[in-house]
Parts: sequence; structure tokens; C-alpha cells
Amino acid sequence: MNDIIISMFIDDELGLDDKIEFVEKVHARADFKDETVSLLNQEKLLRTDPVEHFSPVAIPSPRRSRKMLLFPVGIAAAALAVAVVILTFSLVLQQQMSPTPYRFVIYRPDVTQAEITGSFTDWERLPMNKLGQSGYWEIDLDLPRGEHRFVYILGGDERVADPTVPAREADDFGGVNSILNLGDRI
Amino acid sequence: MRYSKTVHDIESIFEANKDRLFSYIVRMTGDADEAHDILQESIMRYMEHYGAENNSRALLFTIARNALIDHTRRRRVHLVELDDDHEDPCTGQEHALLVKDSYRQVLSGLQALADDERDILAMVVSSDLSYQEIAGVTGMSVANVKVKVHRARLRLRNLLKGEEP
Repeated sequence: MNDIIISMFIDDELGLDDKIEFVEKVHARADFKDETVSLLNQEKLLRTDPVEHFSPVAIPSPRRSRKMLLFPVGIAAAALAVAVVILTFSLVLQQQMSPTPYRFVIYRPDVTQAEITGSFTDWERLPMNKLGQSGYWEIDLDLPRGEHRFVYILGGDERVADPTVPAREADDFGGVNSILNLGDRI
Repeated sequence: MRYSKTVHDIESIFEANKDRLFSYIVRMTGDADEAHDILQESIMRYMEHYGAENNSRALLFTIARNALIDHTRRRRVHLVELDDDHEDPCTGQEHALLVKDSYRQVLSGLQALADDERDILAMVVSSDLSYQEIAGVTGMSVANVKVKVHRARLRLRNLLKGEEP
């Protein structure tokens, strides 16, 4: 059976005449009704948010875009952290002092050199590592919690803000820096 | 403050569409890590070439689709077998993904579809775009989108039932 009207129904693409035809077919043909229900059940699974099916271990680095996927887990973790604060204030202080590993990644296959500079390096440039022939450059850094400003320097002189970190601000030299906030201060 | 407005707009566009884009890409690749990388590349292309003034969802999906095509050219998409005994494509590599069995089956089924079928079905279920808008993104006619979407659903069902190799 190749009743494309079933998919049009699933995708909310039916006009009024199509809807009349669809309802008439459902009433007239049991096989059409069964086909529709079968595809609707498949659609329920197909439209399940993929994010729900990937556990936190799938997130190899705390990049902002990946942290967003863990939002519900983050809420639970934050609630747990609040409880810990109430009970053991000193432990929280220790946590705030401890560095957080963070992986910076940028995709630029067209450059032969990539560096990062920011408030956490006293604005000294650090070279990034090229990931084979993939076009990606990366560097892992341990950063203290709090707010950091940084920018990538590509090919020696092109300053590029991190495209996955929406928070930005203009610097004093006409450029734009990314603003990274690691951890919530309690 | 023009600058603040631009940043705010870009952030809003990103926030409003990142989950849809990620869902589309992960359905296309079957791999969350690859999806993250392609999403990042898509956002970068969008910001470099368009900006906050061009904020249609169809444009974002066009960019993501092009990034996927480029990514596929650079690196073969890892095909997932439907056989339950196969090594999990995610846990078998350095990044261990825990995916529920039923959903993994659907992702595996998507990977077994023809490229154009997977593309059209992943976009329909992920994007909230109309057939008309998807026709614009893919370069197909609306009539062709209708046919291909339904054909892809039927093929996916047959694959999940084990009725197709």
C-alpha cells in the first residue's frame, strides 16, 4: 500500500478535501486504518527526542552546546549541590576552588595554525592541537570556576569568537571575545 | 545598542533551533558525537555567512544539511546493522553512548535507509518545517517530498520488522 495521504495526515499537511478523503478511507477500509495506526506508532518512537536517549556519559567535554543537552540532569545536580552547601559549606568552598577541565574545539580546515588566548592565560597565546586531517583544532585546559573571556586566533592574526558560545562582548580593539561561565557560584 | 541586539538575536536563534538541528543531525548520522561536531560547524557557517538578519529555520536546516553532506564526503558515515548481536557503534568506540534498545533500533533503521530517504524523513520529523519548506531546502518538488516521505516511512517499518535486508 502506498497511501501517501497517511504521511500527510501524520505531518499535518492535509487540506480540507484531503481530510474528507482520509476520514472516508479510515471508515471504509480496515487495512487503511491498520496501516495508519501502525505508522503512527512508529512515528511516536521516531519523533522521540534523541537527546532523551543519550546518557551523560555521551558528553565528552563540557562545551556549552553539550551541557545544554544535560539540562534536566544539571537541575538535579544543582539541587544536590545546594543540599551539600547547606550541610558542608567548607566542601563547597573547596569545590569552587578546584579547576574544571574544559575542552575548546574549533573547526577550521583552511588554516595551518590555531591558538587560543583569554583571561585564563593572561591573554598569552596557547597553541591548539590539530586533530589529524579532520579540520578540527582542540586544546584541553583546567580552568577555575567563574567567568572567562577568550578568543581563537587562526592563521596567526584572525581573531574568531567561539561559534558555540553565544555570550560575547566587544573588546577594546574592535574585536569580539566569547564569554564562558564555568559553574554556578553559590 | 546594535551590537547587544545582534548578540541577543543570534543567541535566541541558536537557542530556539539547536535541539531541532541536533535531532535532525543525529538521526542522519546515528552518532551523537558526530552530530555535536556537525552542529558546531553548522552554527559557525551560519554566523560567518548570514547572521541574525537571516533567521529562518529553513535556512538553518539548509546549512546543517550542507554541512552533513560535506561531512559525509570527508568521512564515511558509520552504517549500523540491524542485527542485535552487532557491536554497539557507540560503545565500541571511545565515546560510550547509552541508547535505549528500542530507540537504537529506530536509529539503526534510519541508517539503513537510502540517503535521500533518511534525509527527507529525518528532516520531516526533526524540523517542524512544512513539505513546501522542505522542498525548498532539498531542491525537490513538493509532490516528490510527499512520495519520498511516505516511502521512507514504509521502508523503515519493513526494516524494523526484518522484512527487508
